[in-house]
Amino acid sequence: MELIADRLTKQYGSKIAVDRMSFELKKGVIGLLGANGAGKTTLMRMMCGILSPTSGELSYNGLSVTSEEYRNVLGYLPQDFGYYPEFTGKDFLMYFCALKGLDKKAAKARCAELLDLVGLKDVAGVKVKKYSGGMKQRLGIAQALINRPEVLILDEPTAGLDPKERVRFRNLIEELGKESIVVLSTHIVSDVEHIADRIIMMKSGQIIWQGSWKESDGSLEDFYLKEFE
Amino acid sequence: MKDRELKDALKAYAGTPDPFRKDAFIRSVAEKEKRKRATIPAQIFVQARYIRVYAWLTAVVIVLLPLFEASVKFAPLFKVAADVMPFLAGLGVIEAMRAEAHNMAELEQTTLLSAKSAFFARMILIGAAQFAAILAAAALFSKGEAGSMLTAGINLILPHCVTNILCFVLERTKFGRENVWSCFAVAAGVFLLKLIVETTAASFTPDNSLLLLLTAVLIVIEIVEFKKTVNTEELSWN
Repeated sequence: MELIADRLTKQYGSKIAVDRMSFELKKGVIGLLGANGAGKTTLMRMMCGILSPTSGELSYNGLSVTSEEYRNVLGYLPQDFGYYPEFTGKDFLMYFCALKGLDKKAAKARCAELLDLVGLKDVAGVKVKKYSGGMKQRLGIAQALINRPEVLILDEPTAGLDPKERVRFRNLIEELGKESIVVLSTHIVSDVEHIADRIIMMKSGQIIWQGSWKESDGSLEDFYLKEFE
Repeated sequence: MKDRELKDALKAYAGTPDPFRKDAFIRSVAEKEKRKRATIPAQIFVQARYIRVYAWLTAVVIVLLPLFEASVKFAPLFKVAADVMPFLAGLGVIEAMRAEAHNMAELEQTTLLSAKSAFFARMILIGAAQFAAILAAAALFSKGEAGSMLTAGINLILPHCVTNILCFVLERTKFGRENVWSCFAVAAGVFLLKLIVETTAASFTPDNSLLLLLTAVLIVIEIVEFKKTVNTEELSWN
């Protein structure tokens, strides 16, 4: 299980959003820290194969990130996502089950399992438009887990969550990281400080620091602020 | 021991498996199985279930118009059908681009059946339904007479084609993607253009073969623009 980026670059006109980034990611939680505009979302979109890099390469176990085989093991939660207005929570998941190639019987079972896991079982039949921000975010997570992903990419997943949900979410991510590569982007240090096996700090499209913070003393937040000064 | 009791006893003994370990186990087993392939027919089958009823109904209404005309002897209904063609085309593109309008495209793009093929499948389904409706309407309006069927078909297809081409071009722009409903403005524009042409060139009757050639050229352009729209890299710097 290895996701490799080799001199990955993305340029939009004169703006370089991601600048020659190289890394190798293995099983565990990887926290991607950076201020708004650091290039986190662009990097994650490239990791999902929905943006093609201007130069450089990205591969997972030797597979191109644009391949069908990779999409089959990928789970993604974008920063902003919507839903069709007529969808209930269950409809939403059933739709993505269909798009992820599950047959109806398997989809029903997986939906029930995921709705239970994210605590939305009781509101499965309620329209998504009536969900709170936190509930929508949990539904998004459930959607990303449908195909039991080996690579899970979560772009600012804690946005809109209240403190209690944030803690629950962190625990969930930590568990997922035991079996998959979980890349989690955020600009809130406490989201990743205690659960990330590896931290990657980004600024202006480049990695400015990377490593594990688990055994380190001191506050990651102080270190992060110092790096960004 | 009854089956139910045995099931309960087994449940109590084994307990619920940890969902994450279970996922890892299923994944390892699934790897040995043949992976499901994402095919266009599979995507078409999925999307057919999610296209809204109104998209099918509008195509049905086009077929019903000549039948209604035959029953009430209301002659201008063919003109009505030709006038609504731009709006029919616009509605089709709006329905196909629905994922964009509801911010679902990014999520759809990372699924096995990817957003590109989702848009492709939706547009193929809606386009096929509308095209079949146009052909049926042309046949019914002309009462099966070959010459007038061709004229009727061309008159219906031309504004439909022009609207589709313009909508595809618009949908590839940032403005178009963010304002999917702007396809209606395009439809209204084509409708107005059609009115102007009809008014200013009322006495001019073009040769059918010339119109047929124009229609063929427009259909080719439409296919090219459709292909370009399917392959557009949608996301840009935030």
